[in-house]
This record gives sequence, C-alpha cells and structure tokens, in this order.
Amino acid sequence: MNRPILIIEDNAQNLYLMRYLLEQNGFTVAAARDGRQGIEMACTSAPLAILLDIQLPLMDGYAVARELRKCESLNAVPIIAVTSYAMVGDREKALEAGATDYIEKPIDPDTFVDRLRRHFKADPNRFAPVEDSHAQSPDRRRQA
Amino acid sequence: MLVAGVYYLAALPGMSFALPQTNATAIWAPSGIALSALLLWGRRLWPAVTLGSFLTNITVLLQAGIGTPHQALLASVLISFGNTLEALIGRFLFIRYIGDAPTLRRSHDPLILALTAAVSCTVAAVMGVTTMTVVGLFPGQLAGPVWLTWWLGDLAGILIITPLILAIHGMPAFPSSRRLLIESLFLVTVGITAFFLLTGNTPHGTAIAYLILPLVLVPAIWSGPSLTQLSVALVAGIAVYGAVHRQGPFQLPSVHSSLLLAQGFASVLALAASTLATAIAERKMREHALSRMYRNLQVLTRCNAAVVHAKDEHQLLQEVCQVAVETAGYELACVVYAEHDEAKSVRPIAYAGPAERFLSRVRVSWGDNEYGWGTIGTTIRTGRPVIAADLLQDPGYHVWRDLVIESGFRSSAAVPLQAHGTMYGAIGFFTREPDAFKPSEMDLLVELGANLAHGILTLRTRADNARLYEQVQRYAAELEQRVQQRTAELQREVARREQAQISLQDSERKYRELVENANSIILKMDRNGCITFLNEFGQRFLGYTESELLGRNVVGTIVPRIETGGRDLERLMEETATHPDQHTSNENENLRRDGTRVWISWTNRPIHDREGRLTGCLSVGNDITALKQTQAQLEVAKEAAESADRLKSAFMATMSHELRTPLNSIIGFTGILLQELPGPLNSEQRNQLGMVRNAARHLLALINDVLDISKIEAGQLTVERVPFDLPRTINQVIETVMPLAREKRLQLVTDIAPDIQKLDGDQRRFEQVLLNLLSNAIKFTEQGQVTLRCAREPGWVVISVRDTGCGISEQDQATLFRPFRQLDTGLARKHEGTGLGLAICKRLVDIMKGRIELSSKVGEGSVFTVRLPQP
Repeated sequence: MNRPILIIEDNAQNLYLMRYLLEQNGFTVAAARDGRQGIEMACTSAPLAILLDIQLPLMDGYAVARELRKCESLNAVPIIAVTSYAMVGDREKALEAGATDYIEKPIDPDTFVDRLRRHFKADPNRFAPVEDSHAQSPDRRRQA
Repeated sequence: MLVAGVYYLAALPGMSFALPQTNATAIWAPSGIALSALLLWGRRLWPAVTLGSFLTNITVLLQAGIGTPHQALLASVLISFGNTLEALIGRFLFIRYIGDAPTLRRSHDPLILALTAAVSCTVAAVMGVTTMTVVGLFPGQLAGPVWLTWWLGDLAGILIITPLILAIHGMPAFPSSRRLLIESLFLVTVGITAFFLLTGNTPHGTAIAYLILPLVLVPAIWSGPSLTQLSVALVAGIAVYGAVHRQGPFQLPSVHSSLLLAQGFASVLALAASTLATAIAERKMREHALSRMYRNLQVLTRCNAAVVHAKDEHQLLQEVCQVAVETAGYELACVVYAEHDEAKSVRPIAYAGPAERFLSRVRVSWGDNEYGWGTIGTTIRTGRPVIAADLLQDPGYHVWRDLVIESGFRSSAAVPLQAHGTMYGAIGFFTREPDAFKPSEMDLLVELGANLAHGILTLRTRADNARLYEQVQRYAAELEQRVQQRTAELQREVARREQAQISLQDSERKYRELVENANSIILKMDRNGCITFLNEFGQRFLGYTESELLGRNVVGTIVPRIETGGRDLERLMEETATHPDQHTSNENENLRRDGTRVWISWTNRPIHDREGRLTGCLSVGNDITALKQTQAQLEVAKEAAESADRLKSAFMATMSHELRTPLNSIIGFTGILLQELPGPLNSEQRNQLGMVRNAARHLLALINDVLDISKIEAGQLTVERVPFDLPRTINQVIETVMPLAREKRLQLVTDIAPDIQKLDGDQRRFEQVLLNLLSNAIKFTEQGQVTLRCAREPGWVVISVRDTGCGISEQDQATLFRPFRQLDTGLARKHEGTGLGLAICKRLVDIMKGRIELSSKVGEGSVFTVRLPQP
C-alpha cells in the first residue's frame, strides 16, 4: 500500500485542488482540516510527505510544524509549507519552525507535482531533502 | 759711691790750699759736683754727697792735725751735713727758679744759678765755720775770714763746675770727630794762652789776666756752653795754679788771699762766660727754632697750597713730602696709608729723601706689636702725634736699631692723617739730629697732617663727586630718554585708548541697539534669580515694564512655579541662577502678565565679575509657543502616520494573503483543466482557459510587485551580503528565460569574463534584477539577439544586457525607472507587465549600493548596465 501524502488544509477548495492534482498524479492523499487532526494523523498514517497550510484554525502551521518535528517517527518526512503568506520573513519563519520547503500560493499545477516529487525522487523510499530551496522564485516571475 | 769717690778726689787738691789750721779752702769743686750730681741723678744721691764730704773733711782734719780725732770726727759729720744741705738747697732752688731740666737754657739762668748758689753756699759756709768754731778747732776771731773763704770757695765751685758738668751732659753723645778735634785744639790754645797770661810774671798786675776773657768768650759765641765752660774751668784751674805757685797776676801777700783773688776772677769769668754762652746759645736756639718755625710754616703754607690745588692724590702726597724735605729740612718725609688687612700693615705711598736707607727696608705695622711701636705705627694706632726724640734710645725702634744706626736718623715724628674720623695713615719725618721735633713744630706738623688728610678727603670726595656727577649726568640722560620713551608710549597709549574708547562707544551703541531692538528676550538675573535687566522686547513680550520686574524673582513673575506638564520650575530656576553653565539651554513655560502661558527657549550664560566670581546669569529667550504647538501636532501626526503605516503593512499582508487564496483556485484549477486532467478540451476552451490563466498570473505578478515596491518604499526590504557563485547564478537565470527566447526565436548570447568568480551580495535579489532585465529585453525585442556580458572594472562588477529591440526615446529614459511606467502606454498594450519591474530593479540595485544605467536609441536597441560594488 502506498504511503499517503498528508495535506493539512482548512480551505476546502485548496484541499480539493491539491488532492485532485496529487491523486491524478498517482499519489495517495490523506487530509486533515486543522492542526490537531493533522498531527494526530501524521503520527498514525506514516505519511510520505506532509503539505501544511499555515493559516489554520485552532493552531497555526508554524506550531503544527514544531509539534511534528518533535515526533521522532516523522524525522525523515518532508514537511512542505504551502501558504499564501508571502510577506518578508514568512518563508524563513516556516523553515525555522521545521518545514522542509515552502511553496507560495497560488500553486502552479504545471510545476507543483514536479517540485514535490524532488523531495523524494532520489530516495529509495521516494523522498529526499530539498537542495535548492530558491527554485520557485524565478519560476514565479516568469511572467513579470 | 762713685759720686762720693769723685767728690773726695775733687776735694783733695782744693784742701791742699786750705787756710792754715782750717779746712776752709778757696778751691772747692765738690760743691759744683754735688749739685750737678743731685740735679742729674736726683736728690736720692745725697748720702753720696754726705759720705764724700765726710771722708774729705776727716781726712783733711786728721792729716792737718787739727784738733783731736774726736773733734775732727764731730766736725766732719757736721760739715758733711752742711755740704749735703748746700747741695740739696741748691738743687731745690735750681729746680724752683731755673727748671726741671738740668740745663741752663735761658740767658739769665747762669745768674740765677749764681744767686741760688750764693744762698746755698751761705748755708754750707755758716754750717762749716760754726762747727769748727764750736768744736774749737779754730779761734772765733778767725770766723769772719774763714767763712768768706769757705763761701767763696763753694760758690766758685758751683759757678765753674756745675755749668761745666751740665753742659757736657747736654752735649751730643757722639759728636763728630772733626768737631772734637777743633774743640780740643781750641782748649789747648786756651790753656797755653791762660798759662802765659796767668802764670807769667808780668808787671801789669791783675789787669793782664782779663785778656783771657775774649778767648773764653769765643766758644760762647762760636761753639756753645760746653766748650765755654771747659775753657772757663781750664782758665780757672790755671789761675788757681798760678795763685798757688805765686806766679802770674794774682799775687797777694798770702797764698790764701791770692787764691781768693784767683777764685774771684774765675768766678766772675765763669759767670760772665756762662751767661754769655747761655744767652748766645739761647739766641741761637731761638733763631734756630724761629727759622725752623718759619720753614715749617712755609712747609705748611706750601702744603696747604698743594692741598688746595691738588688734582691727584698721589701727586699731592709726593709734593708734600718733597716740600717737607726741601723746605723744612727733614731728612726723610714719607706718607703711609694704613691697610686694614690682618697684619694691619702700613703701605708707603709717597716719600722724599733717602728712603732706601730706612723706610723701604723696614716692615711697619700699625698694630700693637714690635713693628708698630715706631712713630708711624703708634700715630696711626693712637691717632696722636708721636715723637721719638732719640731713635737710638727709643725702645720703639729697638727692632730696627741696626738700620737706625746705619741710616744716621736720630729722631722721628709722625702725625696722623685723619679727617672726619677717617684714619688714612700718617706722615713720618726723620732727621739726623736728636730731639729735633719741638712742640710748636709738632703743632704745625699736626696741622699739616690734618690739612693733608682733608686734602685727601677732598680729592676723594671730588673724585667721588666727579663720579657721582657723571653718574647723575648719565642718569639724567637715561631719565630723559626714558621720559621721551614713556611720553611716546603714553601718547600711543592715549591714542590707543581714544581709539578703544571710540570702538567701545561704537560697540556699546551697537550692543545697546542690538539688545534693545533684538527680537529676543534678553534677561539678566542675579544668583538669587532676581531680575536685574530685561530688554524692551522682553518687556513688550511679557507685558511688564522694566521697573515692575527689576529686583523681583523670576519665579512667580514671568516663570510659573509649576509647568503645565507638572515640572517644578522653581527648582529649575534656582539651579539655573546658581549654575548657569549647567543649564545653558532651557525650554520652559513662562507666564505673561495677562496670565497666558508661553513657551520660551532660553540660552543661558554665566556672568562673572572681575575676580571671576559668578554674579548671575544672562539669558536670551525666544518664543517657541507656536513651535511647541506644531511639535505637538507633528507628534500626533507622526503617531497617526505610524499607526497608518502599521495598518498599511497589516493591510498589505492581509491583502496579499486574501488575494492569493482565490487566485490559488483560479490558477490551480485553470492549470488542471488545461492539463486536461478532468477531460479533454476543445481548442476554443483551451484558448479561453489559457487567457484566464494569463490574466490570473498577471494579477499575481501585480500583487507581488506591489508588495515588493511597498516593502522597498517602507524600507522593509533588506539585502544580504553573502558570497555567491556569479557565473552559475547568471546561467541559472539564462536557463530560466531561455524558453522565452526560443519561443521568439531570439539568440541569447552570454559572455562572462573568466576572472568573474564570486560576488558578495544577495543572490535572490540579484537574480530578480537580472531576470527582470533579461525578460524585458526578450519581451521588447522582435528579432535579433539579446547579449549578456559580465566583466570586471576596478571596484565594480559590470553586468550589461543588450538587446536589438525598439529602443527607448530620451524622453522616456528619464522616467523609465519610476513605478507604473510601461512604455507605449498610449498604444494598445502589446506587452504584458506591471510597469513596476524596472522601478523595483532600480531600487534593489540602489539598496545593493550599485548603479543601473540605460543607453538606448529608438529603433536600434537598448543597453541596461548594472554596476555592483566589488572590491
């Protein structure tokens, strides 16, 4: 059985978008609608990766990332912050809290899966650490 | 004993001619000897006289066999007492009527001697005759003639012998041999002549005897008493001899009578010759003294003249010595000065005469030692004139005795050179004759010394005066010069002061005007905070007149105790007044007379008096009420602005977030649809969905750029400074834009210089700038190529992006880097873009301390050049 990609996202449209995209690309997706549920599920479902929204009810994404990083079983699991916070320091805050990567919303369906796949394609268990965390920046300005 | 012996021997010849049966004789030299002895050696000698007389008489009486031995003994004792008494009385009378000195000086002295001798001889004769008679040695009727003989004998003895002895005694101890010879020859002549006259039997009687008189008088005139007396004695002796031997003119029936006659002759002769000799000697002496006096006076006169006319001290002294020797006849005259050294030595200054004989060979001192007991030393020491009557006898010259004998000097005198209490030294005089200095002469010499000393003093004073005069002249000249100098200085000073006064007045006026017209409050207060001055502006501004404020404390008048804000102004004022230097500027509330509060900015400065003590404080104040109000408003505005800023930031963050969420759905689902994941699309659908996606992406770019520029403008955007690999970064960006270039079939050329390695900076922002420039170049170029060059310039890394596009007009170049300025805005928007790209580039390069430049020509293309600092 495939290990799922856990999406912690409270916005239904966004969740639907990512789930659809991932499932269409052959991934299994688990979803949590808030931070607590996300942490619970992360600890039980042994996810392949965790996509974490920052603006969450009850407990924000940074706190969730910190909690997740406390769990030893999740040490090797990439946590990718997917957020619409694009102000100065938002990226740094996310990485500091324990996220492996940071993807600004809106996501680009053309590059999203490839970006995600980079984190585990070199690994036999299909994940690996991200080398180039800046890669998205030029992408985003392609039309500028 | 000697006297007694002489007496005895002298008596014997006389006694041989004594009257028969008596011891009365006409020849009795012992009376003269006895008197002379007592006169010369003092009355203590009387026992000698007594003894001599006793021996003589006892001998005569016993030999002659007169009376019994007992009678002779008694008579001899009594007679010897008589003779002693005679001598003592004679001496007493001599001293009483002639003088202490055993000499016959005055012309009447011989006569007085004869008279006194007559008296004394009477005593002896009475004594003798009475004794003989009483003792019974001869009969009483003989008493008369015996007495006469006795008396005459004694008298003759005194008259002949005493002057002789006294004269011989007064003679120079060492008469010259020539004189001795002449005098001896003369005596021989007298002796021979007298022998012929007085022993020859001539028929002329006694008268012939008197022919001897002139011969005896010759030495009285020519020589002196001594030779005269000797001649007289000689003549007397010969006369007596003649009488005794019954030869010559004195021939009477008895020997005794003849003797009396001869004796009388001798006595008269002696008296006459003695008187004459004495008188002549006296006259000579007086003449001598007079001439000496005259010469001394002359000396004094000449010396005084010398003193008066002297110009030079040494010359004066020399001249005085010369005069003393040449005029006064001193052998040697010298002037010496007393040195005040340890030895108290005496320094010869001037002399005249044979100094080398004595003066220059002796060491003289004026101290009380053996070299200081001479006349000169003693004079200087005592300040009194000193005479050494006989240098040979003088104990003071004992030390120089050999020299004295050699030099032949016999007497000396010295007088002090002393004026106004200053002892300069002495003048010494030396002569070859003993006892040359008489009292009258000494008086003159003393006067001479005093005058000379005065002369010395005068000369020295004159020299001092001359020096003083010269000094005074010099001082006067100097003074004159100083006065001129000072006058000039004073004139300059006066001019300077006048100038200073004028400038002071100017300055005072200027400052008064300044203070009065100043549009500032100028206030002075003392250390207690009491107002001592307030300028017109201050009075107007605060609403007081000066008199209302002077002397009153600032607090309670123009300064409220407590500021509106609660500050304790009373304390502030107290500190300001006492320590203005610590409160050089105050801003505080002040109170106008009408009660309104105003803010004044004060500048304070301490005021010191001349001694540097703090006396108060000068304050200059300006109304800052309006400023304060503005400040307060600004404060509010700033507060508002800051809060607006915060709101804006929050707004931007929220906006960014809120806009992204719907865009996420739009872009995401459009992308999914275009990927035909849900199902296939027809071409129209694909085209339209592509337009939706482009619009959404444009919207997103716009949001991002606005966010960037607002961050930059808010100063929130910071750049890192970390070394990064420049060629690699450039290639990454090239790779990113390559698809676009390929799409437009443009050539993309990269030219990176080989020495380009690392760049210190913010990689992300550099990428952003480069991407923007390359995107623009590709976007605005329809055909041709885009070239990226990277090279080094000193201090810089230069990256240029050249295109062959439409180019940019100069007009547009000016505004190109401003936000929202896409070119061709008037035309249909052919090119997509927010119009913020270059503005952001410019700002990012600025933040990176670099420069961005554009060079372009319309239709030919553009070159954007970025220079980033790289040491």
